[in-house]
Amino acid sequence: MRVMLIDDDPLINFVHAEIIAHEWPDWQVTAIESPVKALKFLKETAVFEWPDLLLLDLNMPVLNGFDLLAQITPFFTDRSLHTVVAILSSSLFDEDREKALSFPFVQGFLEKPLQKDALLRLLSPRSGNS
Amino acid sequence: MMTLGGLFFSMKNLRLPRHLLVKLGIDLDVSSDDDVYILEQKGKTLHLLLLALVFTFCVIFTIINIQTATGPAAITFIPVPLTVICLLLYIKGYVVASKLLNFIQVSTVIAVLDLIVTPSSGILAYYIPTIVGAQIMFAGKRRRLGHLLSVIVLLVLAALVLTDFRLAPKLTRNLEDAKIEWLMNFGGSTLAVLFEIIFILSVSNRIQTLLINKKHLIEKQNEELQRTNEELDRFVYAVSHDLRTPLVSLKGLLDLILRLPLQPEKAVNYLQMAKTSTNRLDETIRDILEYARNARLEPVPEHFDLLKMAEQVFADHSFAARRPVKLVLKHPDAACKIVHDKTRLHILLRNLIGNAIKYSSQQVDEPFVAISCSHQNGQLCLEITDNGEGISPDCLPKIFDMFFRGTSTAEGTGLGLYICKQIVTKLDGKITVESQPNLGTTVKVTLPMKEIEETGA
Repeated sequence: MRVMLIDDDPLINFVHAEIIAHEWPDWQVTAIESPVKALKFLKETAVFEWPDLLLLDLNMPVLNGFDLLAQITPFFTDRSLHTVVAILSSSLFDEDREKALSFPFVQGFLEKPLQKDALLRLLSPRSGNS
Repeated sequence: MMTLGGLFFSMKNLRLPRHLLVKLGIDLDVSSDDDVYILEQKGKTLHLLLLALVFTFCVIFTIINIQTATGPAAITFIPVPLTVICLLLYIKGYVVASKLLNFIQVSTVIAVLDLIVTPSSGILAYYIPTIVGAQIMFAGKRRRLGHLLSVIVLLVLAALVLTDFRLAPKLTRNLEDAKIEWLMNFGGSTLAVLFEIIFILSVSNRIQTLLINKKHLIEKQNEELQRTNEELDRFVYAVSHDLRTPLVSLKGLLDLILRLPLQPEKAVNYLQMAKTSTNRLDETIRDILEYARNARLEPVPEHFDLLKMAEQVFADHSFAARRPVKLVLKHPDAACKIVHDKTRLHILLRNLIGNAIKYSSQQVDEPFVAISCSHQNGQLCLEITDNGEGISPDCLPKIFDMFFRGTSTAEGTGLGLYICKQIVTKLDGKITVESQPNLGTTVKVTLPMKEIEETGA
């Protein structure tokens, strides 16, 4: 399982990477602090090489999570795209949750810090959710 | 033959000297925006006019009655001392009592005059302006008393009209005279009512204008409030995010620490990071407090030396530099003694100098921060220049936005320059930033000054 974390805060990226490394030592974690770089990476990478799980923060400078979601929307017309996209945010605002989940390919809204159970719940009923 | 009608007519043209009215406690230029206050001022005016009228009328009538012996001189004389008592009461501050006495005596005189003249000469018609007058005189806080008096007078009027009761001694008139008197009294009371209507309309107009003005004001305030509300919403959103960011890191770190077994090196690392998060949380809260204080408190001018303050702030911040940074004071010998809001300028300097040090360049040989302070035409001009990292042109327009951080790795709360902008705005000044990536940044602050004295050091 390859996981990509996109969050502008290096500290929380570290924390999330540690949590994942602790729970699932065999997973590969990439953390990107710049949403612009993350977008560039995704655009330049063949779709089948995209990570299996993309955990995205919403409130980021320069390019926020919603902008990034809008930018990668075209890729998801390809139904075979295997990447699970979930929001990992500290926002307590329902508007943010609704807006993020209005993207059809966003499969979950997780609260920071990452919790094992929440991630498992996101990943287990794959077919039922989409 | 004098009639009330004639007197009421002359009352319309009656102009009491302005200073007399002011002395009597009547605010003629009612600029107050309190409609009840305006009503009460008008009530007082009418009361005094009525007093003057009754006094004049009764004196003249008494003289005529004595000379011609056609009327009851004793009765027409009674109100003369009563009006004087009313005026005294009014001057002593017993306004309501004065009005009440005035009202009662006028009503009584009308009743008595009607009861002693046969056949009726239409004096009762004056009860109509009396009833209306009660409403005007007691408008405002005492309007219930006004209603009560109106009802009483109405009942008295009904009783006088419907019964045949007469008082002795009867004054008899021939039918022709009675008719003329009746017509004159009727005309007089109509004029009086007309006058009262004009009076009420003028009050109503004034209050209407007042209400329209108030409405515009409220609409404007409402718009402002809505804008403030929206700003507050954005603020709460941004603040909650920036407060939660270090907090969720802390939560995550605690989760990691609580997962046993834990290697000691890792634990130390986690705790170090937890400390960083806590500091950041603290810093954010301080910044928010500074922002709130700036918005709430008015500037307090104090004497201080701006350049000295800048040196002190620089000394406090220089330890945060990645490499030693040099401080250049452009006019090293000059002091910049000013009278200004010390607290706000301290926050301003702390943020600007702090930024200059924090974003000092790694590439240049000699990183510096140059500060100059000058003044001309009542303007204080503060310039802070560095040869640091600079700001990219994309970011430049956004640097004063709330919680804007130039790069995703930038430290800080994203509130610093926002607070600077708010402070400069509060002090009616201007702040501009010129910057080129990798070359450096210049921040110029101009503030209006009250008093500057420059002395050589």
